[in-house]
Amino acid sequence: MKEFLLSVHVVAAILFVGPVAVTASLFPRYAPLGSVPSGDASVVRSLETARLLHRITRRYGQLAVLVPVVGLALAVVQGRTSEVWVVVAMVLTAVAGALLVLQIAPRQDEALTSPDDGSQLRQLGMLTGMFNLLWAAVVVLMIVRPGSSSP
Amino acid sequence: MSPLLRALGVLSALELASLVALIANLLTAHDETVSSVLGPVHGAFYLAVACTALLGRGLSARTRVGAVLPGLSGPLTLVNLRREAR
Repeated sequence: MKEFLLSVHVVAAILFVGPVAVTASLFPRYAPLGSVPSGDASVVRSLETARLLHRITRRYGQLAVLVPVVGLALAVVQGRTSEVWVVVAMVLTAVAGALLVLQIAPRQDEALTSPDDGSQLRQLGMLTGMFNLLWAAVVVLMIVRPGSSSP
Repeated sequence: MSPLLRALGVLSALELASLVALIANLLTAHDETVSSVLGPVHGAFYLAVACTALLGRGLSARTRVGAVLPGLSGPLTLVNLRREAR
């Protein structure tokens, strides 16, 4: 049971959170701008690409709910729910998830429907960076496990 | 009602329900296994309510602060949401 839950947890984290981190990071680079800036032609901005990135962010973000749900079940099965690293990881995960659902996804939607001069996209870049940092911190917690009762 | 308010309402109701179940178990049978499952579940709902209220767009400061208070966040948020929906 533990092995099965752990496998699902890790595979889901790799397959569902990974793509979200990539697509959300790429979105500000490919989303179209309202006014075309002169000079910078190195990146081809396209509505189609940005839409696809937005769809992957949303879809895989929804599937990624599996990761904390299975993770919590695993913590309950293993009796680890009161260990420091598990609690801290849960808090960071909740913040990261809320950031994705309540800030990043709606802001992407806005950037697609009403593009501006790029300030929206810069903010999105910052939020996505925070999102990725939170996940990196959670992964480190999962490996280092400070306050764990067993190695 | 916006999807954000609806989601926050559902989460607050679930949080309140899990808290009531937790207290009911404490006062009656006080089964350790039930506590060890319900406790983390309640904690997860509390976290979900708090993070949703803190990061949701266009909520009042009152709703945000109310959603962070442990124990009170479920019922307080349910009350505050009626105010938000108006």
